[in-house]
Amino acid sequence: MSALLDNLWLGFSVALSLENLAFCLAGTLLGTLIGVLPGIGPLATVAMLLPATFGLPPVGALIMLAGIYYGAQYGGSTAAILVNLPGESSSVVTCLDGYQMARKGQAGKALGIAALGSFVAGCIATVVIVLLGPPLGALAQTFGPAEYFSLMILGLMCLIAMSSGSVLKSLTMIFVGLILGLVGTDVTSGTQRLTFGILRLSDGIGFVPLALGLFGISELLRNLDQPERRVAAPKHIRGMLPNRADLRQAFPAVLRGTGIGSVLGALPGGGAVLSAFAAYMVEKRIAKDPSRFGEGAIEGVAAPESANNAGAQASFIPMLTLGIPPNPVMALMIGAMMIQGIAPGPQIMTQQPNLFWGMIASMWLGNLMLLVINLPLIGVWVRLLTVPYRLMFPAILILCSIGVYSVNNSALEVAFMMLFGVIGYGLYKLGFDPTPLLLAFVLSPLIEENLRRAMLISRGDPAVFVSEPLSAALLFTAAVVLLIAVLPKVRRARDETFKE
Amino acid sequence: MIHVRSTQNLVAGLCTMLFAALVFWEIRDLRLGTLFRMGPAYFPMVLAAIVAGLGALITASAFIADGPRLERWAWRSIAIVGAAILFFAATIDILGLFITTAVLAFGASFAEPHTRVGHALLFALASAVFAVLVFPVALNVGIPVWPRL
Repeated sequence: MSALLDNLWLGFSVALSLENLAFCLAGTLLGTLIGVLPGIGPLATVAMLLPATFGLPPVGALIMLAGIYYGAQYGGSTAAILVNLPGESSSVVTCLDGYQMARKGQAGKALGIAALGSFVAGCIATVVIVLLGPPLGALAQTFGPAEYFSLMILGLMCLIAMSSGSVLKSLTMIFVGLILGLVGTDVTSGTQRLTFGILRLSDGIGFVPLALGLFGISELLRNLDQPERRVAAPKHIRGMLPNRADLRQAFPAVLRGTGIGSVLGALPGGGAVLSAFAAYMVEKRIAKDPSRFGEGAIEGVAAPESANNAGAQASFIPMLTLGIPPNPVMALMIGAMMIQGIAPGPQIMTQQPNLFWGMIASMWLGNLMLLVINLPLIGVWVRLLTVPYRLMFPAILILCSIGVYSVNNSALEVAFMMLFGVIGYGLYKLGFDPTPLLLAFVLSPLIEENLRRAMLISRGDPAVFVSEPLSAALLFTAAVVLLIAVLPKVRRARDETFKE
Repeated sequence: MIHVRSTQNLVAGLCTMLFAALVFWEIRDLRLGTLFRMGPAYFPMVLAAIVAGLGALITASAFIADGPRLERWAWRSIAIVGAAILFFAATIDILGLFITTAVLAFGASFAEPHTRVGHALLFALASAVFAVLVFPVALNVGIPVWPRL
């Protein structure tokens, strides 16, 4: 217990330095600002601002990136509630009831409960991380290549549960993503694979052009294509804050959402998205009057918002302790850490306690800042959304292009981004959802390496994945998750939720 | 007469199989190896085979189950946005941030119908100024602002 307090003390002493406080503030502010813009979610925001952090000290850079991440998350929720345009996938669920509340003139309540719920969730999740971090790190030490492989397979299967569209197509996206992740130089043999002779590809397809193209540019193209998908100017916000009755009604939902988020967020392939979706489904199932959902039920905002914040924070656990990115944003964070010269993994807690505990303390501070910044500033963010789309989309294009260019000073990557934008647009037209593709892309080299190592150790015996207990348990869970995604009942319910 | 019940699924499945074929073709020269000692071609080959299988299943589903129809593509938007970005990519190293941002903003504006040239010009100028203020100045990102003379 005292060790825990010592760690927290260390963390806060790092996080409360003037410099790091400033980074935290800058991160949450910037994140919210850009996250509010439709079509730019936490992933794109972190990607765009990543290069700006290269010149900062390591701890400061990570604090700022973390701030950007959940700032963008909240910004996305703001847009979801006010104009039914989700900043990214986890905000989709918030749209369902949040927008309906806004249409009834209760936007302030929705925004307020989103902020408060997120803060409560963030506090609890921070405690969870503090408690779970060290034991998970210890567990991770026992992970061999077979276990890592099975863990990643589990993560990929969880992705299927989260993406819309047929299971067949989601599976296809996963495997295509795995293949794309292999483009470049094979580490073991040194040969070029799938590069089609293009020299620039020998380092692999850049993550930033892929992500921004597949999600940012394609979204842009879809919005240009179909004006109905876009923003309508929001009406005047009345009834600014939730009253006591609202809070009492929403509080159990907040707690449930936090619990779900803390668990699901730590799973690979999980994080904010899966948590928000699951929390909403749970609320709807256990509600006394399920018909309220989709019409503006406050639990329908409170639960997913708490879940996605808890999930976002919980997703730092596998990243920091296991070195495995549970979602694309964490993959970017790992990239940032490596550029700063830090290798994430179980040894981070012992070798870089400043970094680890400083980040955790800073996450809690970031949540506080979000609350403080956003409640008064809701009016300002709203005005941002009234910018007409004809000005918005070129701005987004510029941000994306400059962002991609600045990562490697490579104009070719900007061209790639455009290519992936068109491909992403095409994928949507063909009924595919590119979300699983991106995560599979990130995990692919790791999966291959662990597969290779596991086979090397077991001398080519594939049974090792089921003979090792931990690995078998993980694979079994993966199979269960896949089955759940396939079962018609769940599929129908999932499609219902997505159609709304 | 075989009846296609979902044009979208048909094209989706065919494209998927085409992709798998592309991968098979590109790795044809690489060493396969064994499960014990996996060569560079092993994992991609397995993955491509799975993708081909999935593609076949999707194509089959186009004949078996009802599904969505293929929608039209918005070629005009794609062409304009694409041209604008490609111009940016082609010239940023030569012309610098200010000019290329302005051209990008100007060109892209026309992807939205009923854009007035005067407005677009003004917007382009504002965007260029803003971009220069934010990226090289505020964020200290190393992009040349002016053309290399």
